[in-house]
Amino acid sequence: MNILLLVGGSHHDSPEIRTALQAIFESDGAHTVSQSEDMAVLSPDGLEGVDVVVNATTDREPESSEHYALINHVAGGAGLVVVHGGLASFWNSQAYFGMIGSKFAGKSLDERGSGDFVVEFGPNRHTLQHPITLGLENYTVNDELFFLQGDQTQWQVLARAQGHPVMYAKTFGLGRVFVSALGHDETRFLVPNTTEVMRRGALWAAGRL
Amino acid sequence: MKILLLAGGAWYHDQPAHRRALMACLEPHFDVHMTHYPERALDEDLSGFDVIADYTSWWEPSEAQCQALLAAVANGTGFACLHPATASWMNSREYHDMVGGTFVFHDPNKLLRVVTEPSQHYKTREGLLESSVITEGIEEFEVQDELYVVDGDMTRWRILARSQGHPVVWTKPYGKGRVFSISLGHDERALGHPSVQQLYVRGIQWVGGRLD
Repeated sequence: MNILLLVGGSHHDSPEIRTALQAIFESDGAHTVSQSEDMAVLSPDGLEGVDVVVNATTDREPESSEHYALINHVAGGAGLVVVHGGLASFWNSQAYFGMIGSKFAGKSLDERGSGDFVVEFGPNRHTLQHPITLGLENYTVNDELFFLQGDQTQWQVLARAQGHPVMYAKTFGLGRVFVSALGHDETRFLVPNTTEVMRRGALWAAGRL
Repeated sequence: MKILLLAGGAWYHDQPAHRRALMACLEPHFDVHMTHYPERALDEDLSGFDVIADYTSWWEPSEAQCQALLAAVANGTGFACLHPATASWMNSREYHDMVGGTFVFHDPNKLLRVVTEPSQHYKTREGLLESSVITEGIEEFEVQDELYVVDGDMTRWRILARSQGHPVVWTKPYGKGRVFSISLGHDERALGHPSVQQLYVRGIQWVGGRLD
């Protein structure tokens, strides 16, 4: 399957991060992963044949036509994975946030913004069991704990930390969207469970899990 | 101002000490009609009440009782959803749509820091925590209480107070009515906290149209 990895922006970008993201999505072997920091790739032609778009950018502001190319592609049945910075990007489009179901609204730890916290999976009354997280055990990370603002009634919450949803799945038109708020930099991406949910998230978003 | 206070439901939120604390908070300000039989109160005419305040927990209405409440609020009666009530009416999606959210779980009772200072989204300038006549002059405070996690469509809330990032006080419209929701106030200790009491009183005044 073809994965398009969108990178670049004001934060969460470095050669190491790009290498780490590439490796995570290539780890299944069967995937072709292409990276782009040029949002012009978001066009009907550029997205043709792309099964999953991964948005790992921060503070990018694509052109209106690029937003709608992405939104139409997902609505038409493609997958979208939003990683950490992708919750704080594409600010110039409410439609983008409607599609992904939330936006970054703040960080809930101390002034430094990051710290240790426990990521808790379901199944329980408030966190669902899901193919993306099946069999994974709760784990402690040192990362940024985002709080997200959106219409939670559209989310299937897959993981919480201190009550804040940090991973969720939803649908958009015929497409599927998986969001993980974790992954501030490459050391945070390379924590085994964080890596595994991104890998599985792409498979699920493509309808292959 | 005449208010109907619904109590009842799970025993742990329906104890004499809770009722005394609620009445001590509200009675100096309102003509309070408290009932432990919400099903009876909702079967009767609600039109004489300015505000309906709900402190039930894990209580389930009939369809007719649910519709009676929704119709009253949609027609302009104020509604105050107090502490356990986001964990009540669990058989009614419409109730939770009116309130804006549903109780998910709570942390063990602990010392909470409640933030009321207005703040905006750093990028979009949307209000993350908004100023309001309800919270005016109430500074950040600490209270021994439960921190509720409530899931809902936050895009429709005006959030007036948070603790650890979680909204604990919010308002929203419902038809011609106003809704005030506060997840603080677990027991007589929390209900006896001056800032919590002020929030209860002002929230009820505001949904009743007496505070603008």
